[in-house]
Amino acid sequence: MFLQATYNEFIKIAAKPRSYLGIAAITLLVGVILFAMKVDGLSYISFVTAGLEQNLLFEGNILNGSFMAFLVLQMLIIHIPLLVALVTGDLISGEAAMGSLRMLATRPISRSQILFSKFLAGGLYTLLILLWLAFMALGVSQLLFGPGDLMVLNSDGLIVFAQSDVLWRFLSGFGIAYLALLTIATLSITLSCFSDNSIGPIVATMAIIILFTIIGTLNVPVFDVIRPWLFTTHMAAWRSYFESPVDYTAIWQSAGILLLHILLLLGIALYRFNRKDILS
Amino acid sequence: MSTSLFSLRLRLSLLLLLLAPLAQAQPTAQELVQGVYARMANQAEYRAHVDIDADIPMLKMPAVEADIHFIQPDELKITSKSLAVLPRQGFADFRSILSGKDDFTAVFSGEEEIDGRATRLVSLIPTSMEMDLVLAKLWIDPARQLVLRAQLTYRSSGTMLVDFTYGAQATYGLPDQMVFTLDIRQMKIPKAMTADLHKKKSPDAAADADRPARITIRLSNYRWQ
Repeated sequence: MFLQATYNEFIKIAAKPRSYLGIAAITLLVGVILFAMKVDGLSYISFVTAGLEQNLLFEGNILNGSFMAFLVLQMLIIHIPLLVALVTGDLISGEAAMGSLRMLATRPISRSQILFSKFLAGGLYTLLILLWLAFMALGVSQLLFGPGDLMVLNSDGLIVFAQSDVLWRFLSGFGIAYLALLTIATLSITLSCFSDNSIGPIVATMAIIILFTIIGTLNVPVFDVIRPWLFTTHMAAWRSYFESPVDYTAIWQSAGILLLHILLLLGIALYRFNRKDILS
Repeated sequence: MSTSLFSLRLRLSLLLLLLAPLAQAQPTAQELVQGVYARMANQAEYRAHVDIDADIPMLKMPAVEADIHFIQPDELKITSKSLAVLPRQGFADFRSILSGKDDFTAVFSGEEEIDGRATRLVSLIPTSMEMDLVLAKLWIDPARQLVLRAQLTYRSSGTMLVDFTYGAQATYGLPDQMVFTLDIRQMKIPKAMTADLHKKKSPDAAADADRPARITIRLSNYRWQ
């Protein structure tokens, strides 16, 4: 029954045109980035390497598929939460607005199971969005720009990873990025339990992300205590796989905090949804 | 008495006669540099396998294997599956520095010992103010006619030190290893380009930025054309 409910929820997601907005947006955005870099990518790279190139000569293709995959991820992973929240924020409030939630609650399945089925369907949709991003970033970039070593710019300087050392970093990075996106999905589902219209939870999710990101980036000591506990601080944890050496402690810490958020938000959603007065 | 004085004068004259050709054999600084170049110039084109180990501040990268194809005077083609970093100057153009006898004035600047070998320090001063190379100091082993160390000062990129180690190809003036030590201009990292908004530059990285870069190039498997 639960699996059937989850399947039904996923079909509902698949039937909504807005669910394809995310895939279309990713395709368009990645297409624009790849086109721009194909035309003028070397000037983008020289902006970073100009200082070094006065003394050093870089031999080999820096502008390769691995570099493009990293660049695409870096540019888009911040915007993907909006595409996820657009669908997951509507899962309960959308049905409440349409009046189908009351009918759903009459079925022989508990409210907790309804919520979990929606959470699982939302999680699956988030995974599909991320897989599409991975395909566009890794697959299409490699096809257009060819393979090669990955040059990464971080706050300490440049790191070059051998081509053979790159794939596992991307896959692990996608793993932790999925956890971050699942946190966003859970947040929007939770907010969805408090609302009877679609727009409210979506906008509220984005507002929370923007607020937390600003708090996280403001270099003010008063926020030092809360900054490590904000989920937005850990949304860029995927980048830790592109450090040398990899800071596994930071990764585990980020994964732990993101999981904690998911569990806490699910708890709140369960509490609220089980007590929700479903009037329509 | 007069016989012994005559004998002494005769001996001294003979000694001077013997030493005179030796004094003439001492090459000038220019001749010494040309001797070094002549040894290298025998191989106008060669290929070699190189292992590049770059220890550069603010740039971490794995050791790289590559193949080089050198064509006299300064054409260098590098084939590598990996990203490789080489010094912009001082590697491919080194031979052309030695060959340009009309472009530089060579003067002896002293004598030094490098790794137990006596060397003569030759300074090459460009004759034209237009040249990028401002000064080249060469520590030359006169016995083997090999450059053991070079300090090259460029207008555009500053000063670099190159240490040469020779092996089986010393006959052709080709080194087994070249170690470049050079100062790198600090890289400015735009925060927006790192998308790493929560991370600050580590204190270790800040300290690391001030040390000179060191690029070790090991050459092997020389093939002549």
